[in-house]
Amino acid sequence: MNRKQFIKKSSIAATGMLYAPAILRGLKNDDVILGHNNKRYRINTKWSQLNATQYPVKDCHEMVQDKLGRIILLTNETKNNVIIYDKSGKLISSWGHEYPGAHGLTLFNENGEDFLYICDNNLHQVFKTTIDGKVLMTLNYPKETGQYTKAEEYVPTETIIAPNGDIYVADGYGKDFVIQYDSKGNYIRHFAGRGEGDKYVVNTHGICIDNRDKNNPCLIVTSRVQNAFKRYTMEGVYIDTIPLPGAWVCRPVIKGDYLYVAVLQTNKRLDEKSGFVLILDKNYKVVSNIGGNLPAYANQKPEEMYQTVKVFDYPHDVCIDDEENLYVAQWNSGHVYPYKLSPV
Amino acid sequence: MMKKLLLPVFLFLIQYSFSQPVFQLAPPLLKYKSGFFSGSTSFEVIFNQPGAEVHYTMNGNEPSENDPVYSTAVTITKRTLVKVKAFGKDFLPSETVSASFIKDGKAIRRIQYSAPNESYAKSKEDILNDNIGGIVNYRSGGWLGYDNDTVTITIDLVKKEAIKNVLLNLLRDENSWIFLPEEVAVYYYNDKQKTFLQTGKKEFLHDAAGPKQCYMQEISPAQKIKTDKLKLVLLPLKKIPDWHNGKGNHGWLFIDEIKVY
Repeated sequence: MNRKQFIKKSSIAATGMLYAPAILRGLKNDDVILGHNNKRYRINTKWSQLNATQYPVKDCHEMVQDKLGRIILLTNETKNNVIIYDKSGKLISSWGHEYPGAHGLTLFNENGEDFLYICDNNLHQVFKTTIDGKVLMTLNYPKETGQYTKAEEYVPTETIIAPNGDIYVADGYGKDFVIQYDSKGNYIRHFAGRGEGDKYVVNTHGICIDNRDKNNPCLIVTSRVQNAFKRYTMEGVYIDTIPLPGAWVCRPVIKGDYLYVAVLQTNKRLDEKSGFVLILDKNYKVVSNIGGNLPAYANQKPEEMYQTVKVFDYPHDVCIDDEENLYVAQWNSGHVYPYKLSPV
Repeated sequence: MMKKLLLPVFLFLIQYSFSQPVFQLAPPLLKYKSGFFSGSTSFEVIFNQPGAEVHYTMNGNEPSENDPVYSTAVTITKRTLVKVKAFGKDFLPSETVSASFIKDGKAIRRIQYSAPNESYAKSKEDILNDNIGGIVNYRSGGWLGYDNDTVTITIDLVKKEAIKNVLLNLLRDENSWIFLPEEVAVYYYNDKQKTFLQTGKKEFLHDAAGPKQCYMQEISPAQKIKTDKLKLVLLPLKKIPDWHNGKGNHGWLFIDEIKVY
């Protein structure tokens, strides 16, 4: 090796050494432990084994697990709006070409059979389908509320189905109302929406039913721009607000004693891929931030939250399977497939 | 010998660059009231990631693990460029975050400015010399926003002074359609000729995207001048260039503070 070659190689090696501490110890991402307290995980960013040219995704919006244990992904890619995986990330099947604005995906087990509810932002409609995509019911824009004059004003983002079959639709990119229907799709009432006061919301992006207290089930509704969840009774009466400063929370998902939610981004770094996943306990206390700061409280309120590790760009939903693994779907994140995180 | 030693290192780096990359720490949050001050000021760093530490410099150098570890608020008494960076054993170091802290210059009696777009106008008369600014968020409340062709600003000093430098803080946030201007020209009032004469100019190129930042531009007079009256003429970007998704539209100009030295 002559001197010139030596200098060239040494300088490349020196550049490499800048990154040495983590890499040269042979550290990989699946060695890193993410999250806090009793909710800590290892991540697998290569969980999906799909070929992107065959089964492409755009935004990976939401995921659910069905009664067979399969993981179902909804994307706004009309080559395959719904992709069904096994838990190891292998493809089982795919369907759906007619949902250009596919956004919300909710699974409801009705008398032993699984059904899906899909919100489409572009079509301004909500669809109830069988697990393999046959449309059984379509909910159009809710004229009955007296709040809408045309379909375009209604941009549903999420649904949740009550044990009695009532359907609640969150109009998260429209007028922010929650519209309640019976199981046949007959309008019952609407609530939330925008306004001055605690009972109103801004960007009601998600909704779920909290039935951890069996005697007092309630609705948890996202107010994403306000960085909060708002609780309502099943009849739409406002209960209280759960502030989550800094966090653009998407859909609340309850599994066991915990509430999981993807945080799209944080106020501290808007439009800069600053998302993470946060986990609240039964008392709505933050116990873990996956990719975010160590949870800290001041005066019973969480301190403003922020990203600390660039694990995610814009997480949009989290699905928890029957083995407590998490699957994280991301919006606007370079067409990435979901990541899987396993508890440690 | 060298070759033999380096080869495994290269293979290793290549292997890891094509497998799951090691995660990078997010940029630490630099917290401060304003980038402008008289007397003294301070900054804090917010970054609570177990196993990671934030190192900082106050001399403009890139922080390394040999630089001080941030633990508590740091006081600043003179013009300082602060840089912070997070390091942790399981992750790649964060990007560097920096902020400039600018101390008061010559005493300013008042600054008058042409009317901003009403969405980004402020009723506060001394908005451009109130020592509030230097926050990279156009909604922070300290900024004036313009989307017209010409912005004129006149500066009255308390007394006649020899002028070395004029500093203005502009915002660069191209995602929000906020650009550096096409040019900034500095004029001083010439008593003999009873008119403003140009004494400095800075032109800006817009051929590529730049980082979101507070852009503190200093302009020195071309000749020795002594005056109590200066004028700045800023030309906001009239046409957003083709590389931007707002191409062809009028760009925005945001300004929040002016200092004279």
